[in-house]
Amino acid sequence: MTVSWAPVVYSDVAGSILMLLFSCWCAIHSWQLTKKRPDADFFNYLFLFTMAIVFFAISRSFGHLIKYLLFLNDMELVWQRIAPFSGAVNSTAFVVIFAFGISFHRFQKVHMEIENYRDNLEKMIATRTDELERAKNTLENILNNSNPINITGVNFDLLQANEAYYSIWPRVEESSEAIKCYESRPGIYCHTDACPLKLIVEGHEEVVQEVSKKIQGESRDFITTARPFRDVDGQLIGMVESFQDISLRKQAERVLIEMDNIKSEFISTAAHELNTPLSSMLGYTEFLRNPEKFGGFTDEQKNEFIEEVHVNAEALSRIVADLLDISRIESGKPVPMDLQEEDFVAVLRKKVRSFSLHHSGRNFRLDLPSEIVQPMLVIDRHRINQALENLLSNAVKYSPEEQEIVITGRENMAGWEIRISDQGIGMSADQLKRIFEKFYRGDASNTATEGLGLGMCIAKQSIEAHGGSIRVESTEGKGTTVILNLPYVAA
Amino acid sequence: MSTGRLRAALIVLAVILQSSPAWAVQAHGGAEGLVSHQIGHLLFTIGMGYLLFRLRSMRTESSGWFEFKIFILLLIAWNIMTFTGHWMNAFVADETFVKVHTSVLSMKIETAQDAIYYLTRLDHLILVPSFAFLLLALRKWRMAP
Repeated sequence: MTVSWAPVVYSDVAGSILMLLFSCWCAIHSWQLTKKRPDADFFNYLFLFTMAIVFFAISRSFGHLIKYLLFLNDMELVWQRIAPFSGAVNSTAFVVIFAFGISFHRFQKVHMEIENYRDNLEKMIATRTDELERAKNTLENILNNSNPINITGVNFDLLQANEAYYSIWPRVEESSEAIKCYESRPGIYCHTDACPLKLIVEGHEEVVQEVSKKIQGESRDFITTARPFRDVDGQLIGMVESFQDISLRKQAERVLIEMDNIKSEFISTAAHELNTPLSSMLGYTEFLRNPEKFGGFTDEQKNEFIEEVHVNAEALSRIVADLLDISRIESGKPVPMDLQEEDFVAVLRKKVRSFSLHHSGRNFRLDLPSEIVQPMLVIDRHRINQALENLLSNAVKYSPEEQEIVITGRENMAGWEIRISDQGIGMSADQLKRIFEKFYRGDASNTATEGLGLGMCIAKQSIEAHGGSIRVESTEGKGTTVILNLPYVAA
Repeated sequence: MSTGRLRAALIVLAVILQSSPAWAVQAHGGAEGLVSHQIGHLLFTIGMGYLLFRLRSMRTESSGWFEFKIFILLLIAWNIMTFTGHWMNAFVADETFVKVHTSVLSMKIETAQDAIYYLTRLDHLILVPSFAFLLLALRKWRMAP
């Protein structure tokens, strides 16, 4: 069988050209690889190994191409001269490649050790980084969830502060220069001898001060504690200042003082309120006990005295009843109720008439609908009387004699709405807010009216015990209207 | 210089000094030329075989190593092929080649050795792909983060 020699020649020529191309390409890649990791010994090894391979490939390919060129030009003899050198170069390259091959394990060992070392190092770094990250997060959490804290340098630079700090002292617009503490939180101690940083620098180990600040219109009080902030060598580099919010404590102190004042005022008022009817009763009983001392009295006069004693005793009884009611309300017990179906309109009419009789100088006007559909309500007559009495007596107390007091009653779907309006001194918004507080007497010093300051509180409790509601509308200097709603059936 | 390195240097020197016209690629005229060249091929094969063996014990999951192993395998195959070709050359008679002047036009295949020789002359069919794999391996290593 005869086969063409052309495939051999073509594969030799084309293969040699391709080998030259691949070799150059490999050399370039290998060089770039070494440049990328100049510190990696193994890549340096790969570079040298590739260079040896490339050298072999180039010499062999050139050998082939030169051979065919010479053969084409009938220069076989020249090739016979060159061929031994070409073969020798190839053999040399083989030996070099062999050397690289068998020394691979040395590089491999070093490479593996480095890889292991790198892996361990990376793991260690990752573990440590994770630990540090967690520790940092924990510290940040603690710092941001604690009281406001800041660190100030000895040159008054605000070095660091937590989120809580910035919730009180907002961030100053950032600039290239450090923010000074007196810019961040200007206060009464800034630039004075009481400056905490100044005291720390002077050698104080702890500086405690009280500061106040208005935050969103609300006054807040803080205790600031400043301590030295030192570096690892113990050198003072600033101060750590923490802020403890004592606003609630301060508020409680203020309430306590107010309560104390109310108590003193109540004792004084109660003594006066109890003393007035008692003095009157003592006076009349003295008349009755020793009439001859006062020149004697007629039977009619004696009956009047007894009546006065009775009226004053009733007044005392009412005061004591009020105090008992308040005591019951205070202790959380419900107001005792004796609910009966009553003609509420008749109760209201009677109470207004009674007030008209007792306050003959005052003008009361009862305004009721011409046709009443449902006058009957389920109520505790005594409690409703007590509430109406308190409200009417307030209207009498706080309005001038010549002004009319209007009592309006209207039926609605749910029950009755009663409005008691006077054209008296009225109340300020602050007084209006506190009107139902026990022992509260609106501007008692100026009005100098009698009472323990329990009427409105008791009235509210009584009306609400019926399932009704009470509210007050008032304009200072123009008058007050108390609006109460009573359901047909107490809830 | 260590004994190993000295030995290697002496081998290289000996190979260069022993070059003669008989070492031509086409016809390794003298027995000494052919033997030296064949020893070169054997060393090449052993070196690559050893490298391949070492590579198996190394963590080579990362990209590029698979191509590198293929490259080594093909190089070993090429060495075996050319080694066989050089060997068979001794058994192929000059009359087997049909020539015009110095150019070979065709080959008369009469024996198994003739056929093996003809096939081994197509060694570039293995050598070129092996270099393609080396290129791929280097490229992947270079691209790796």
